[in-house]
Amino acid sequence: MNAIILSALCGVVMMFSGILLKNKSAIKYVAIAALLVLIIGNLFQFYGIYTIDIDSKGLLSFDRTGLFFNTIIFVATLAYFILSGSDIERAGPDVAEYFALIFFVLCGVTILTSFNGLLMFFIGIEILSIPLYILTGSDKKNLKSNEASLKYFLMGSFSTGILLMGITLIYGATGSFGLQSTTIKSAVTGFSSAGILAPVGLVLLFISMCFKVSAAPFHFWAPDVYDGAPSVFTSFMATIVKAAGFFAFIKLFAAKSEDFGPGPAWKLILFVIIVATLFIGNITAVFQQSVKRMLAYSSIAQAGFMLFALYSTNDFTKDGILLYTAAYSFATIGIFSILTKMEDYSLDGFNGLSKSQPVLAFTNTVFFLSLSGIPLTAGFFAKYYMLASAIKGGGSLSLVIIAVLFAAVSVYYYFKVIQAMYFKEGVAATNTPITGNFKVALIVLAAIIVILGIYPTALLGFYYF
Amino acid sequence: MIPLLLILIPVVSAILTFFLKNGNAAKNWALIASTATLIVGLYALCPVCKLEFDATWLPLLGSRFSLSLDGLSKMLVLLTAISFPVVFASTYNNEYKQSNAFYGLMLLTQAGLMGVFLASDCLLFYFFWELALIPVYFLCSIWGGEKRIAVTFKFFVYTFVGSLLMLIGILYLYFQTPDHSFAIKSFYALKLSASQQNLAFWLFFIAFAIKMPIFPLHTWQPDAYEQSPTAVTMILSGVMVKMGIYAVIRWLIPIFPSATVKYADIIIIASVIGMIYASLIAIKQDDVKRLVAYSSIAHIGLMSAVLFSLKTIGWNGVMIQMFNHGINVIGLWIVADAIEQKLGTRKFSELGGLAQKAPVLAILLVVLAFANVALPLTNAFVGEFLMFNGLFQYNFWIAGVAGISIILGAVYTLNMVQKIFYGQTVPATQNALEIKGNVQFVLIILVLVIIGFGVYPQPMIDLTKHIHP
Amino acid sequence: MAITHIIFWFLTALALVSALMVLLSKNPVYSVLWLIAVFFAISGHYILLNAQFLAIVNMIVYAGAIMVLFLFVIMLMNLDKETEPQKDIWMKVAGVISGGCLLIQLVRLAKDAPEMVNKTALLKTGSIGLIENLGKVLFSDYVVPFEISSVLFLSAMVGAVVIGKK
Repeated sequence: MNAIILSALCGVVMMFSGILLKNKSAIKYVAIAALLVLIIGNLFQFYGIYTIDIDSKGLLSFDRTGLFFNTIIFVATLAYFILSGSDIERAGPDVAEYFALIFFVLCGVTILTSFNGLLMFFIGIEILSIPLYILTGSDKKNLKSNEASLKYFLMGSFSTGILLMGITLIYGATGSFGLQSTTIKSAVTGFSSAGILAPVGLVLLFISMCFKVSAAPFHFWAPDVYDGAPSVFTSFMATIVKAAGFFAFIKLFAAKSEDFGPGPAWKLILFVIIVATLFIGNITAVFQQSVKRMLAYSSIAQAGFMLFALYSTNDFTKDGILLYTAAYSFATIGIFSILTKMEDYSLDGFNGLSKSQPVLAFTNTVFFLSLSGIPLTAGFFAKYYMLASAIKGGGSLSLVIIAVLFAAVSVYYYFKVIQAMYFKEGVAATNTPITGNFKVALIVLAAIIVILGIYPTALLGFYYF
Repeated sequence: MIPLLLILIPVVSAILTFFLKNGNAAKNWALIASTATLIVGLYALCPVCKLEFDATWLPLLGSRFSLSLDGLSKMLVLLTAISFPVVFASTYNNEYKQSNAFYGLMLLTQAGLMGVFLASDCLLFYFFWELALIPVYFLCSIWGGEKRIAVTFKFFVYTFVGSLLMLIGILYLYFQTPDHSFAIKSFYALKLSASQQNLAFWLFFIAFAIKMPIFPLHTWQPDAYEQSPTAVTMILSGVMVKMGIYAVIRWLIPIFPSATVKYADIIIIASVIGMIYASLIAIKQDDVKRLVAYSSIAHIGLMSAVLFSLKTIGWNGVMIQMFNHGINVIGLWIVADAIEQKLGTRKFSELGGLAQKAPVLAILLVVLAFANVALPLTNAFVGEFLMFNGLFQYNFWIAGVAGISIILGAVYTLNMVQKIFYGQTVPATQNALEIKGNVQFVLIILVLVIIGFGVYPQPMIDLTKHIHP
Repeated sequence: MAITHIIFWFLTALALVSALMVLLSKNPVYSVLWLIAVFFAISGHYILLNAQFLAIVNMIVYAGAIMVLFLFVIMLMNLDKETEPQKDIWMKVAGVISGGCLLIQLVRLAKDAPEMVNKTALLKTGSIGLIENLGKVLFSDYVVPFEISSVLFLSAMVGAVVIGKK
């Protein structure tokens, strides 16, 4: 509860800071301070100190996984603020409002990690989505940004409609918004089977969530939106928001896993979706010339890997999604923070970066290695957990092999950037001077990724002990 | 503690190297660090010291940071420890841009290789397996030849796909172990059904076969050898390909005994085809580097064929030959590099009569060439003799066909010697001078090792007997 | 056939026909008008279900406010034949197939309706939709989501300011 209330309050504080503070960079520091308060408040609850305790009548339930996930998300946001804060300042005139919207998104995230029913789930998804439509379109003079925003809004609304329809059907079947299995006996009527209502509802819910996490074939919005939105906000959307969407997706369907029934149909659907997501994300990314667009497709490809957590729900998936979130978010935030500093977003724009900006090139390499899942980086253990969960589930070795082959494809396009930075001649230009603080922040982020890659217990140890 | 030192010294010195200024400081430092590793490596040969190290690493996953040294590991650790100072000393005159990064990456490679040969935990093994690859990727791509980027990338993707498949295999086995552990003992104790073995066998084997490489997965190799800077090529062909063979001996065959027997024929035939094929291509080559590359494929093919024939005597031969081939091939590369540095070409057609100008180099090369074709009194003779002994026990015809490649090997090796060193001098070699002192020194040491182990191979044979899985 | 039955069927037919007309009308303005008719028909259903509050809200918010906004937007956009985008025929086919799949599911749902009578939850009594009950539930059981949705509106307002400001 701490995090939900504090994040909403932080959003309000940011709104007022826009009126009270005229200096743009002061707003950034207010945002960082507010985020620190948020992290501390969340940690209080993680360690069992409820500073704010409200009886939610069973609509919210706070468990360690959710609270820990909050912490990861907040820390990732902190990294995002520190690295890309100055880019947010440059994104448009309403800096304070952008920060406020980001805090509202965080509020949505905290609800999605603690919902205990479809009602809160829906509210969480909406709080998460609405500010994003606005952030996407914040570059008002840019036609592409406008298009992306409208497209995202329309598609998002449709998916919300589908989501609502699914929730309605499930509610009709069970008479409750609860997360319990839909086949449970109702106290009122004593029926034992929900018939076809619940499965159809679940399918609709499933489709809508696939849309939110940009799993194929519901991914069409993602490249355009990620490409059209200002790069700073793409960074936020592709990492923190997506990870939160996944967390909610998994939380929801792990609770409903009994409804998937004995039949293999659900597994088959997921199998097809994972393969399609990996295929489309990876193969299309290979052909991109713009690094930003390549990252958009790569985020689809990474979603394919995260879907593994849904495919096999066992004790590996929980750790896996936590690690994956940390590894993927940190790396992508780092990459985007460097990307926004570049004059030219195309691959050639990175040529020779290792000469002009060795620190940027080196940290960027670490981030890309992490995304490719090379050992010694956090990305390896993220992928490791996903593969392990699928293998433990048994019977899905073919899926794992397909995924691994696509991981090899992903190396192809990730390494193109590394090749450009290190092995090609050129003068990679940055659009703003690179400050020493920025470099230090990048190095710290890269160090975190490497430490997680050598010793992931550093992260999971917090969670377990 | 000794196993840990073997990894720590290169890692720490590598990190320090990155902070050194360009120039000779990095060179000297790398030479000192690798010599220190060599001293520790020699010390590891002593039969009484404690050669195991074990520490907690990932308790949640059931993986421990455990290293151990047996006879097989000792042999390869020694090879790794020797080859790096040799490489550094022999290429001392080469100037690299950003030499601190170059030497740092080289030392990291050494750490990765050491880890592969020392790890007795499968996840740790996988870690080092990949760790050895990444620095090589950067080394080849930054300091390599003209086509370096594409070629190195091919090499990288090949091995990466292989190792990811191996990761699946490792995870698959991990879930079969009763105590959910990656320790080599748990893996050895697995009782896998035939179908489980067949599946996991290929997941592992593809990774190892790519690394070795075995026909038809060898296509990355000649290009990569040709385009890499020579110092890296020496490591690639001298030490890195041994990773694959080592892994087969250490992991593959003990874990999957019945699958090995089942697929041995296929693999042996593929290996022998690869041998003949590589030898025939080597005869056609006009480039020293490519010739040595194909000759290396032929040698590795023989080793893998003998491995899968599953005869003890053959295995002893393979283990000895792993070390010897490493030494010999590094010697050949040093000569190739010396010629290229001096004369600016590697083509036989542009060379000739070098013996008149550089008699010392000529003598050393002749010894190396003899070792490459495994003449008696060179170290390779012992290994090949044992290997063929094993192969004959397995199948007469296979051994016969494999024997052809020995003849072919003699043809192309001696042909190379003749074309480069004898005959009329050509314009390119007209003004050639003798090689520099440091290269002479290194080559002489290598030649002494070659002849020494050729005359008295008993210590090595003893080493191969101390294998305890 | 009781009067409620007659009204029910009438409203159902009205809703379905209007919904079809929304899709079939060439002129977008007519579509919007038909959509308003759909909303009215649905509101009628709500009243039949004894949910007067919902019916009124549906009429005021959807049929009233939102649809009027829609009309304005459509009229401002100046749609005519020339600017109408040409849709790919394959797109249409794909749409029909995927929509058809869902339709099959829902038709099967409807087919199972008689046996579902016993299988769906009946919530308390018929008076759930009255304002009094709704208010009580909203401010007791559902007070947390009710308050949290204020964040949603706040962010929407901030968004409107950000987008609307020059």
